[in-house]
Amino acid sequence: MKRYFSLAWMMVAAGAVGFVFQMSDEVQLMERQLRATQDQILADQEAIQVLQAEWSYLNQPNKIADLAGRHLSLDTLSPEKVIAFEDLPWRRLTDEEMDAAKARYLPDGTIIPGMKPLLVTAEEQL
Amino acid sequence: MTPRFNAPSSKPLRTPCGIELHRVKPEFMTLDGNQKVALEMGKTRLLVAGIVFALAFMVIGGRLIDLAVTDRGNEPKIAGEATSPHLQTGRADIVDRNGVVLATTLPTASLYANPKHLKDPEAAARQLAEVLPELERAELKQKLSSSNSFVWVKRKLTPKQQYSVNRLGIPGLYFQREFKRFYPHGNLFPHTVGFAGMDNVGFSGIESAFDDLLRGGNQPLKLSLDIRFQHALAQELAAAMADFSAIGAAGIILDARNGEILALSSLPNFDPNKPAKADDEHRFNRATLGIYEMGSVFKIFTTAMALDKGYVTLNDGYDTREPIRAARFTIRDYKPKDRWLSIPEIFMYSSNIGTVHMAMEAGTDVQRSFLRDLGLLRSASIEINEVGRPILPSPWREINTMTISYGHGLAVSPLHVANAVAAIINGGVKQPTTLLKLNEGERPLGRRVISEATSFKMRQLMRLVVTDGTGSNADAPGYQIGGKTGTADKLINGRYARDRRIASFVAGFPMDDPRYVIFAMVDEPKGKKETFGYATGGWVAAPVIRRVVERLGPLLGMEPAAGGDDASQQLLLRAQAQAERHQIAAN
Repeated sequence: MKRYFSLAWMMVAAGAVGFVFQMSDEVQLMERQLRATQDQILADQEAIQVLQAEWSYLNQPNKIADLAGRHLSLDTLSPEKVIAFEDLPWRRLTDEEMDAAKARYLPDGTIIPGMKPLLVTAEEQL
Repeated sequence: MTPRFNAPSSKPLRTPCGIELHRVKPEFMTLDGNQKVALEMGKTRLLVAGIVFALAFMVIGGRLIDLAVTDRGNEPKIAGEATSPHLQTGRADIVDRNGVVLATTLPTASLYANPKHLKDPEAAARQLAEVLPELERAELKQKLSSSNSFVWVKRKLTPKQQYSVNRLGIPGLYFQREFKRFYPHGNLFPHTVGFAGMDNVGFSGIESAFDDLLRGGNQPLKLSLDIRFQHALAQELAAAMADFSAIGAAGIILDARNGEILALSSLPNFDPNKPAKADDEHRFNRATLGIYEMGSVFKIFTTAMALDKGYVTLNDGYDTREPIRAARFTIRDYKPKDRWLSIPEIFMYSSNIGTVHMAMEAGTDVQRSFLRDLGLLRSASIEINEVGRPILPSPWREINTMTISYGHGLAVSPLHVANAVAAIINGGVKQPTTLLKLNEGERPLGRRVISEATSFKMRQLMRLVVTDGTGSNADAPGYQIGGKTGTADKLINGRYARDRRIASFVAGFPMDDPRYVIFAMVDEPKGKKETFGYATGGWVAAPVIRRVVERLGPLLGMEPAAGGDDASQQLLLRAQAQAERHQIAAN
């Protein structure tokens, strides 16, 4: 009985030692990975630093203006090109719409009863 | 061992040493005293050792339980995040207000040689000179043949150069990793951002002013500058400079509400990536270090002073027919109107005579203290070290008061003017200017120099200059620009030179709620046919303002609005009626 008891303890001890060794090995492996990752982060940060500088360089306003001038048919927005929605003229009616419109009004301009008025407000159109 | 006595029982208990236990102790047992003492001592020692070991194991066990089970305050609950590394470039970036990189530090390789390891210096020099053509072959050969064990061949190579040197495969050449300051936008910000030298030490501008901060930290330094503003301003100034064959130009865009400098340009400029190639003329910052007599732009300050202190009202005026004679000077108008002019007209048509009358009503002391309040008598407040001290008249006589009223006799920097005009139009509060970005809505502590009401009047007057006065070339329809022209003859060797002048224009927009102050100045413009030979502020600098505003308006999402000139037009009608009444009375 006593012998089994000692044997059991020895096995527990061996197990513990094995576990500790394995744990230590795993930690070392992870530390290696961590170092590798940190090196990678540094390398990436350096790459980002360079790429940001390059991005800024490529975005020189002069260059963009030159490219836009060559490839886009855009010009500086002049004030007269900006207009408020309320200032827009009404769309010209097509002939059919004109006929339909005439059908809604009596010659004196009053709306024929039961017909909707033709003009709607801007909000209703939207 | 044989028993010396008969045992009472058949099987006496014996210890492993052969000593019988439970033996009837005979009287002569004492004869075995020595043996017993040894036994007792052994027992006691065993017991003590056992107790000591038991205690030791208990302590260890207790400690194990303590470590494993109990909670410790300083232990993190979960595995802590390993501190991630940070790239140490040795110098923080500088970015504009929107985060565009203006200055950064890049890793580069510097090429050095150990001549002792070089087998054939002659061949190495020849091959290197082929790959790096900027190096002198003879000089290179001499370097590589020296008896040192370390010589720099070339510092801070480009990746391409490094690759081609590597391809040569010459033993004895080595690379040293170094960091190099790089300015992606080249000559767009040389005077504000400045530049840092070979060993990453700041030499000028922000690089010099914040050298410690930049070297200490990793966080980018955020400036108030906006690259879009800077580009528009620099390009239009350069165009005007070329157009009028000028020797220089300067411009500033200021946020009128909080004093942030959004753009600051000085021409000619230089590329901070190659500072050695720039001479002093190119490095000179005309916008902050340059000190100039600004001319009629100063009439803004004289008029604001006279209106604010109550010496005149907008309904008053002066007869401008007679030139003013004082000391050995005669003060005339550039384009005489030869009649009584109301205050708005004096300002619109930039009458020297009328302005001098206003200044004389206030007097020297009031003028000096007003200009001091506007910050025009001491160095401008800005972070960079390249700031100029104004040149004041000494002593400040009456004749100085007269000439300063229209901008001669007191020399200040463009930044002074922009800052003071911001105070005049933003509601009357003078704020320090800054090159660093302020937080959203942050307004630095300012000092009131004129009342809100005077500021409102000045905005109407400045708008009139553009709609109906000398600054009509600055009018960008829809953006409500208001401003003042300035043309000053330059002082060359103590005399005013007629043909060398500073043409300037200072403007605010939009005038109904001023957000920006723009100052543009062109140094020694020459007149040309298209401008009928004129090279004045109205012809040279005003169009710069118009074009800059036309470019910035859409960028800012500003809606161009027609009208908005009702107040200023009413003012004009009243002023003209006033002048007419005087005319009739005079005849």
